[in-house]
Amino acid sequence: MLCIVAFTPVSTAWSETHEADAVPWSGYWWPFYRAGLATGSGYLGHPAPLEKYDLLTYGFYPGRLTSWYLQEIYDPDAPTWWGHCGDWAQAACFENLQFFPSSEDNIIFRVGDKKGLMTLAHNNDIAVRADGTRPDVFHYWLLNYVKDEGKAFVADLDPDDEVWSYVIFKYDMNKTNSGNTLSVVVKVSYADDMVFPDYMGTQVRTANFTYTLFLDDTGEIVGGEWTGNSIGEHPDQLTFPLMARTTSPDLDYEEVLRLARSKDDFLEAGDTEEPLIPGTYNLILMDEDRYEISCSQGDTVVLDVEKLDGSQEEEVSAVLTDREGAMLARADIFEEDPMHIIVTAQDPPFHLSLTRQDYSRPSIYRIKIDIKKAFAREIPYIPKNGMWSGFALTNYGDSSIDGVMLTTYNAQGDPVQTVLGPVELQAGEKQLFFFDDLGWRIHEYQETERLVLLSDRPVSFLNLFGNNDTRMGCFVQGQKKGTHLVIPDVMAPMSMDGNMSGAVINESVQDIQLIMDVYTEDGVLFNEIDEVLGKGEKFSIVPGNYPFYSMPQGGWIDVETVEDAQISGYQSVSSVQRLDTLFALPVNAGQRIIPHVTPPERWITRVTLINPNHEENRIKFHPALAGEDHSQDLDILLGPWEKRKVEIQEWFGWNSQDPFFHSVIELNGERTFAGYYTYLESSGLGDEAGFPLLEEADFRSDLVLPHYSGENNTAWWTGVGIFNPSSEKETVTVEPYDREGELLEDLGIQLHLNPGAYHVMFVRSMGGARAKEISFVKFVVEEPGGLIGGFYLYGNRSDGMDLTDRLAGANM
Amino acid sequence: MLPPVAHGEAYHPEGALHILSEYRELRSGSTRKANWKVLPEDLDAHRILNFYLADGNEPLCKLMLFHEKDKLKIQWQARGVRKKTVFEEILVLPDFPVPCDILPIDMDENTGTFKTRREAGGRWFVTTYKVVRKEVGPQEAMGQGWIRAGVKAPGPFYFLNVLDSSGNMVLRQLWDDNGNWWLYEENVSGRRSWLVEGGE
Repeated sequence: MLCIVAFTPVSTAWSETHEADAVPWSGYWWPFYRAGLATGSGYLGHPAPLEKYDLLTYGFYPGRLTSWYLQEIYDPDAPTWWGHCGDWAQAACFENLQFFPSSEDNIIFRVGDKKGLMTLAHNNDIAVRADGTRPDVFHYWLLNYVKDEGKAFVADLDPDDEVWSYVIFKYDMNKTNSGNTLSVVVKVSYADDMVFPDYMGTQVRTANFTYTLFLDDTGEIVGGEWTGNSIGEHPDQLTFPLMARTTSPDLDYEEVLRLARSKDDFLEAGDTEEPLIPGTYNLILMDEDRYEISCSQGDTVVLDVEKLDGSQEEEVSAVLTDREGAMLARADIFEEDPMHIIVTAQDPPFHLSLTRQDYSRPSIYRIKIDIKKAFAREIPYIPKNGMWSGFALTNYGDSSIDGVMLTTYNAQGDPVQTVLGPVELQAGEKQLFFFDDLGWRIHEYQETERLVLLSDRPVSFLNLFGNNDTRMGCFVQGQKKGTHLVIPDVMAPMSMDGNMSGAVINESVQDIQLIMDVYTEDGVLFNEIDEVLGKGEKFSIVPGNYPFYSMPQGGWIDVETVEDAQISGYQSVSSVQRLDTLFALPVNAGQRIIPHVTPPERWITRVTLINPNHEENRIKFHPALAGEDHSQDLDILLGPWEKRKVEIQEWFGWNSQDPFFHSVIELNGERTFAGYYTYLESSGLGDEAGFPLLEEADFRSDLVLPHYSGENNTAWWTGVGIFNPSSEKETVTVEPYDREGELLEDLGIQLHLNPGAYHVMFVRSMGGARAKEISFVKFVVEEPGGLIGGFYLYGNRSDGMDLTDRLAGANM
Repeated sequence: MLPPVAHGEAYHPEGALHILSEYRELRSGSTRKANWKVLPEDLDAHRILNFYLADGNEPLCKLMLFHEKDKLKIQWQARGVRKKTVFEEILVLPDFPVPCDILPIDMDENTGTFKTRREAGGRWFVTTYKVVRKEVGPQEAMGQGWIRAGVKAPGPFYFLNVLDSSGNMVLRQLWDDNGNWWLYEENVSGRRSWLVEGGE
């Protein structure tokens, strides 16, 4: 508290100056008719301060607080002077705070957001309220609160009908004693509310008042009267808050206080260099910010830095250097001039430094960083309709892999958050988790469209999702990327047969031209769509939505890029009892394989073929074990652009006495084609599982079944098929591993596969009761250079029901 | 003149009290409510009254009542301020939100004049009040809604009215002749309060 007292001994006049211990902060008065606290009107638009609070609390806006405000406080017909000036004044008087912007769970809370929330938190304070129209009362408040208590108080500074509250924190007073009167001239200093919400500090204004106080014979003050201009211009109500209270049931004062006190961002942990992993970060620059970008040699780093503080003030300087300190990039970042860098790592790690000349007003900025690593696996769809979504991440290799990450992306292809890692996966380590177990931020949930696993070396990444009662889907990407793909199934909007959705994803770091031709099942061109797809962007395919307002039931989409850039895609087709997912199918001319044909008694093996050519295309089905004997072949002649479904279990589903039993079926076309095979129950009930037709690129010397449910296997069965696509006999060692990644040598078996033959089995058949110890299984060809292919299939074992109502799988 | 009443236990509740206050904004007419609890405690010969919001855990106001030279002294301290002010015989705080006013309930006559003195910045500020005791019939007390359902108040009843030097009503408290706490109070700032529980 500042105190200056100067006596003038020759007269009875003296002066004094006193100031409160804390200077109140200026804030905006948020008029009711604009509802800026809830709408951002008069401030920075959406999200408004209350919407940000909802976003932080509930993950979306408008939430309960915003809705409450619009219902209870917002009044478009209110007099224009009605607002929160009194609430601001109480807050500024009560809360000794210095406001800075901060990033809360990646939401930027600006100074205006915080002051706005704090203002609403004080709209129902328990407060002392006095009649300031009486000068003796006003005089008492100046002396009692400012001088004795060192505290500011709130005053409406004129007696008009309109109430404009301010916070008086200082006075300069001249007093003259004459007989039983004391004449006072006082200049009060007060914090103003005519400021932009983001204003930092105190805008000080002053007002002068004159009055005469009446004294009794003992010199005690018994009353008073205003004098001079103050007769008409003098304070009205005076307020001193005792306790913060709000009328809102959805605003938590302690949380508002925490927000108000918070500054800077969640990446700041002192004066150290912080690791920067893929994601989008909304950050505050209060001093130099330094980051380390850990990546591996050959990785592509995509880095964007934007300045967001809403000012044209001084630029933010960014410098990117490599391990040796060599400068890779330098930029002065202005509001309209962000930094965008794509760099291939030669000498990692990289170091990013952000600075500015003057830190008195913090800068708000956003970093988007994406890293393209040597191995990536995409989960293109995250169910948000109550389904569970579980993952198995397995390092099936012989050595540990460091820096494995799982990053979420939005529809625009921007990385949202790295929700797992970077972690080191030990050799043989398997991690199981659900999407809900990952630490995603609730307010980013809705925009989270897909997940990408990033690793320096191959790992296995399986995603199963479904309902608790019926239906299950599966995503395992494999190598399904290219420049020409097929989305094999579309449905008409509002179809009675179920729903279809899908997407095409630009896997490159450049914008691409996408050409999508929609065909009917018979090969009639139904729609042509040209779209530019930004780098990493996801283009959704939802019948009934732009640009697929009309779609042919049972049709398909031919997808091509003009540029030589990789795209991927997927589809999800569901009905009440079925859910089937597929990555978009590659279009090429090579031979394809169906690895297993079910016997016809219970199961259907259905093949869907698509001819992406404007000429007829004959597709030949040939059992590999038949060799040069083509008597069992099946020819399907597809018309131009035709799609056809063929059930082959009656044709090729031989029993064990047949010489071609367990023969893979080779498919060869006259021209390029695409296709997939599906298993489903012949009853027509139950779930179904579809797999892309296998091709040469899928064959390897070792394969992995990434997940076996082990001790929970009473509820599920896991089937595996392994085949020999080569012309030589192959011996395949089946190596089961336990949860510690240790090989269960005594449970291992060997398979001897003739050229073109396959073997199918249930995992539980390996090791009997000890099968529950199995975590994952490797299939290794003994002969160097030998190749195998395979698939796996998960199904449920319904209690007492001979029906598999959850079925999903993938090629290995 | 009404017979003098003996109120040895006035403002000395045996246990916790619960009070409902309603605040009417004089400009807008809107009302807000607050529930209070008063927790008494004895410290030597002093009676301490702690006024809390019903859901609060820190008192908004603390009174210490004691006698000095046969005069009732009331030490008052509000939350958030350092100063403790001692009043004599009467505590009237029309500006203060907590219903903690203490009136000279045992005054000998039905009318009395009292002064409150407050010090600030080295100056004393004096306010003079006239207190008038006035009987209230049970039908009026009940009919006006001054007595909450469930509160035992057999009567007879009377108001203690506090007037300023201009004769304007500043505060009034309704008492049951046998009560140790007022049943109802209202003041010039638009506050009305009811005893909800306790005070028998």
